Amino acid sequence: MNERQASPKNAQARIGKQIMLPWSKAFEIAMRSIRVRFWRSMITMSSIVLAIAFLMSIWTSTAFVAALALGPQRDLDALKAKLGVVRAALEGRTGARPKPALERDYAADLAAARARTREAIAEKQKAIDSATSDEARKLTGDIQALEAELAPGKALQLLHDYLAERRRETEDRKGRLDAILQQERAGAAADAQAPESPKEAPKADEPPPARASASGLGTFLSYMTATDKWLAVLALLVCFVGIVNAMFMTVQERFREIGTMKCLGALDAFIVKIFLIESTALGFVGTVFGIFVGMALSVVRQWFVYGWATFTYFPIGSVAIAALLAAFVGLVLSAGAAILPARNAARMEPVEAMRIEE
Amino acid sequence: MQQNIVRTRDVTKVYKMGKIEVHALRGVDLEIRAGEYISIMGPSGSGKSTLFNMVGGLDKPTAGKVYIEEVDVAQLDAYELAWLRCRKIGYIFQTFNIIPVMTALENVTLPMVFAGLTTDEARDKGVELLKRVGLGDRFSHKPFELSGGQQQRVAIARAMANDPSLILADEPTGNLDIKTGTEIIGLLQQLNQENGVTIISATHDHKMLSASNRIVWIRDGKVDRIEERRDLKIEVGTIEGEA
Repeated sequence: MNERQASPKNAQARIGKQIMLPWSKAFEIAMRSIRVRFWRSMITMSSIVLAIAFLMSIWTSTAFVAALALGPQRDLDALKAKLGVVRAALEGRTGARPKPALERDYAADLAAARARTREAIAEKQKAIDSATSDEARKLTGDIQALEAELAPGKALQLLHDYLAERRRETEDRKGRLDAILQQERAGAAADAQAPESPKEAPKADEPPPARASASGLGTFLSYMTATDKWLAVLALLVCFVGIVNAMFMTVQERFREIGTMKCLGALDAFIVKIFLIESTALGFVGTVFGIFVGMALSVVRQWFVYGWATFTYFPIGSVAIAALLAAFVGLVLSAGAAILPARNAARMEPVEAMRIEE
Repeated sequence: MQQNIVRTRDVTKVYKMGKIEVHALRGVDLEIRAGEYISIMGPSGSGKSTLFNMVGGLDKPTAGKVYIEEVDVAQLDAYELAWLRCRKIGYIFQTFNIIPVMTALENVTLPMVFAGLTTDEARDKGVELLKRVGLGDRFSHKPFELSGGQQQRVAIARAMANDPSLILADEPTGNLDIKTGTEIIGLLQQLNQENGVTIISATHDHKMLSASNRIVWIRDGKVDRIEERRDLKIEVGTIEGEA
């Protein structure tokens, strides 16, 4: 029934293979203990949610501001390029591209231009029904002029006019956005000038000027003001301390359980695993929630300030990168916060389990 | 042929609390044969628990040696100690110490998982053990759904999980009433006789006396006397109406 070890050396040969450190068991135990202390786990998790939400909202806001600063400029540049090409073709300059080629390349814009003209025609036709005879005559004249524009030969002219109009619209929008952005930057700069620690190097509080080549991805980090950076670091520190505290308390409560498991043959590494899994699982779920909450809050705020322009220049790439970074930060935070308490738990003597002394 | 399963040579333990030194054990020599049922008894502060910890591999002596199956416990590293606790020794506590978030069956199979049994093997063996201790219909119950006596039975089943050669019981009946305590002692005796497991218990309970082969009385960190059961005259009264 029992194998008697002949000597410690024999045991040593077999020991490495025989002490099992089953991850699945550690996972099970960790999940159970979260469930048993559900509401306290939720409270611990909420600190992660808040810290990550804060971080994410700052990053999303800066991503938006960056996109809004860079986006219209990019649109304008594209439109100018197209306009230039079309104008050259219309003026018959040498080296200009042939009309059919242009019509093909800018088919989407052409289609949009035609659609706009047809809409205008439709509107005027509706107006005719309720117009006086004089107005009706004028409207009919307008309609005929518009229909002439739709003639095949006039395609390039139509395109040119459309692009020019788009350019005007975009310049308008850019003008409006620039005004709001200037206000925001002035406000942020004022905040940043407010009592800062003397060892803070004179960083540029103004975001760097819009670079036409900048894709927006990753440049958003450079749009963070110094205050934002400091606040984010602070929020993460507070969260870290909160988790460490909560984990220490959990370890303290479970001294008997830990001691018992060690009496059953659990290695220190197993105990560490249980607590690391617990903390990381909470951290993961909390981080995911935090990312969504942060994004949502930021989008709502941007919408209030900038209106629908926020969705025109939605920086998906930057936001995705921000989300990944925030997830990484959250996981590292929650795993790191568990290290000290877990090692504390692992060093507990099994004798602790038998602490009922007379 | 009787080997010594536990042997101590002049075991001494001194606790340093600041400037004060507490001599918990002052040179204890003990030999426990395989298959014995031995009780360590003594008043509070006599070093009973300290000796118990030594013998069970839970603590290392300041001086002297403790041999479990002729292996010096002080020479073992963490892996080897864990192996010992997993495979060779089963523990039973006064406070039962069953993990509250797991069912009875999961508690019993936990040491088997550490020993490397597959889930199926572990479950089958666990059910067997629980039937053996009389809890065949209770294996999916959580500890808070079990009475004290039943929890202690689960603890005993868990202690037997990996077929240990040694079971250490620290006041197993301390939190139980007279009737349940007697049942538990009976169960331990049964295990001792049928499976040949050596049982070492540290206890105040005089009901344990009739079940033990030998009794070691400790006083002031030294062995006061060792008695064989046949030399004892035991009269333990029972109350009318209890078993």
